[in-house]
Amino acid sequence: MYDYSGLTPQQITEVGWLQIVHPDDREENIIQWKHSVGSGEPFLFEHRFRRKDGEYRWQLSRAIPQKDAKDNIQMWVGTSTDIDDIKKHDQQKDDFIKMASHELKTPVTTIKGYIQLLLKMNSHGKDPFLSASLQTIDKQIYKLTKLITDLLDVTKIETGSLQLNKERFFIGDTIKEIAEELETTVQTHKIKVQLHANPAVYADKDRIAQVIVNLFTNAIKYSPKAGEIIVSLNTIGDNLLISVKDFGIGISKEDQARVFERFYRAAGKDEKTFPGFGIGLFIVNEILALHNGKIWVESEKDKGSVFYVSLPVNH
Amino acid sequence: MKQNVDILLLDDDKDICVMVQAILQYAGLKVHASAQPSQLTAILSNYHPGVLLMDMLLSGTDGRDVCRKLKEDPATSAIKIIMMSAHPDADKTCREAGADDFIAKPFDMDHFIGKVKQQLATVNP
Repeated sequence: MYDYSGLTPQQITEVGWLQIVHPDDREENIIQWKHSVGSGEPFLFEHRFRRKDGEYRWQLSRAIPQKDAKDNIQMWVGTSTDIDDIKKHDQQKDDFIKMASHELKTPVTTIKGYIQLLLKMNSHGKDPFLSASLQTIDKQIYKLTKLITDLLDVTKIETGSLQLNKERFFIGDTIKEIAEELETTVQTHKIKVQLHANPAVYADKDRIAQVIVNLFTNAIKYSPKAGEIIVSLNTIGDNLLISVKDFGIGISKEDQARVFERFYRAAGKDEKTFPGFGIGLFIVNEILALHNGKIWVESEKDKGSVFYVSLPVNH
Repeated sequence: MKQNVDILLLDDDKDICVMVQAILQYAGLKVHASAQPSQLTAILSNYHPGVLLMDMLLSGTDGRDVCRKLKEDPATSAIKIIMMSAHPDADKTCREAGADDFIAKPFDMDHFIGKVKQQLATVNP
């Protein structure tokens, strides 16, 4: 670090190593470091270091704890690897993904706009077949848009270019808003919301909303004969816990271990009758992992499932 | 003398331009639309819009640069600017360029009209 930064050991000791980290990366750096120090989990973080010539370059920093015989952490040992060239190559891929997303969504914009306008103009109900047809097309456009977004998210995750835009917000409020909106859209299920807490979290609000929407829509999709799903929010220590319970077809023990894998779909006869790519839970798992969160499921075949999400409540 | 319009619409995609104009007119708004961003200066000399609804990418012109310039000019800084894009992560960069609001494409029609009317309501008569 001394050779790379051009700083002396005394300068690093007096002011700290954070001084060579890019200002935009410092807040997240502190959060991740504190998480590792508090939990004992290895530290793994990409951030920019200021080289002695003044240029900021991407580094992959890793550290593991060294423990004594009583399992107490004595020190941390780590490395930082210059990955700036790799990052620039990834940036090209990322730029392609963004442009592809734009090109795919542009014609969908025109189709959706006209369909919704025609729906409004035919809302008098004089042509029920036309109205029903337009509603079906509108729903399919929603599915198509979601598919484009999900496929691009999978690509972003694989290239490591899924970025988070973190902000502070009350997660209980977000859960309630999504539940109300989805109930109105779907109309087949009631979403019972039990907020035992409403903590503020520091997270990517849109991505966490994506997680919640995904869990709700899965719960509804896989419980076509039930009329209700239940979501609850609690805090346990430094974490919040969300549970989403449905009364549907359930997941076998063998499938429970694999449902978060990319493109994995349960192989049962009933499960195959449901549409989907098998990428929703993979994306949810990755989003939560980026937030140092977790997801797991408890389920019994034909009795329904409960999906649990745990997220740190960062302060 | 300039003609007052509720919305000045600027999008280089002609099909989107026609569709958005139809939606806004259905909502009862007075709209002037152009699919040629190079004509903006000429259009602003003839029209006084309450809201400029503009795509972020305008075939050779970056809508964010246009937004910045309009907001820096006292003659046009009062115009409310809503930017639109299908580009991911566009919301943040458009607002940083001075846009008063942002709409992601594709959009829900009611949500879209709501946002436009919300900005119109803040325009000084």
